Amino acid sequence: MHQFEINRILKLDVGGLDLSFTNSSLFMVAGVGIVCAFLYLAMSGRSLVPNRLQSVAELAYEFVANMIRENVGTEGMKYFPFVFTLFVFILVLNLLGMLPYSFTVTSHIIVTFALAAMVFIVVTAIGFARHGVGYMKLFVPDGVPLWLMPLIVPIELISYLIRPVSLSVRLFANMLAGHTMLKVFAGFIVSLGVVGGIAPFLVTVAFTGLEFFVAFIQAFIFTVLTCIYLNDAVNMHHH
Amino acid sequence: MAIDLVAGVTIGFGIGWALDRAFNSRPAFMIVFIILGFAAGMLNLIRTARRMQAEAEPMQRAAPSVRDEDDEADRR
Repeated sequence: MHQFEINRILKLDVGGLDLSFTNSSLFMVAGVGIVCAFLYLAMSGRSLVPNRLQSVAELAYEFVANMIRENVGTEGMKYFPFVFTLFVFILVLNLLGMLPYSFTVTSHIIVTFALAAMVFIVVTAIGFARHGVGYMKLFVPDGVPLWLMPLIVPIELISYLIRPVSLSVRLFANMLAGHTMLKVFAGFIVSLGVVGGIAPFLVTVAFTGLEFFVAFIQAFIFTVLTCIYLNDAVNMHHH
Repeated sequence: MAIDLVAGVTIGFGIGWALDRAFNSRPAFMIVFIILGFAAGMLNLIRTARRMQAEAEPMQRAAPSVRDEDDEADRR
């Protein structure tokens, strides 16, 4: 579909690598720009009693901070910048995709997989940095008889390796499916004419509202799961 | 949540396929790792469900209990 197509805006070729600046890159840059401008404007007043913009920024801060405190504990606040950046980046890209004629960056699996792979690598690195080789104990659950170990350890290892895949597919599939569904129902309006088109029109309006909710909830789920993975790395918490 | 299951089987298939190509033993590793991947996906699914249950439990306990006919019948 046209809305998911990637177009090169600035052609750039470095040593056989296609590094063109695409519409996807444009929307990512726009997203980062919007977040930076918003946070800069919101916090430029720095008043004790916040104005509307500042309270939105503080709300976003508190939201992510509470999420980390609940899932990881105060020790996890060290990684607040990483989690906050992830949450705001995904949220803004999802919401930008809701604008008509815009491009939804998160509806491309390569983008979400890059994000999920980054989370996976960062979390694994934190785990090994904090616990050394002892982090491998994560794959050896307590209270399992020795003869079951050859079966349990590969299962635990694979379940650890699944994480980036399920994390990326969840975000990508939800965004792609939502936008496709909107397009399909909007197509029904045209094909059913003025009278018959009222029903799909109402459905499209309702689903547009739902899509805004999905845009938020998927950014939230991505961040919560990052926090839960961080919890494993920071506290070695056994399930 | 269903994504966990699909991802598990996919990753299991990938690992099995790669090992089979390395040792030229298709389909031995593929079978073993698809089953292991399914088990791993199930494990992630159960963990997700358990976490959701743990989050929902305080709310369920806080909700007021509703009296129904069974309670009345017990009293009689």
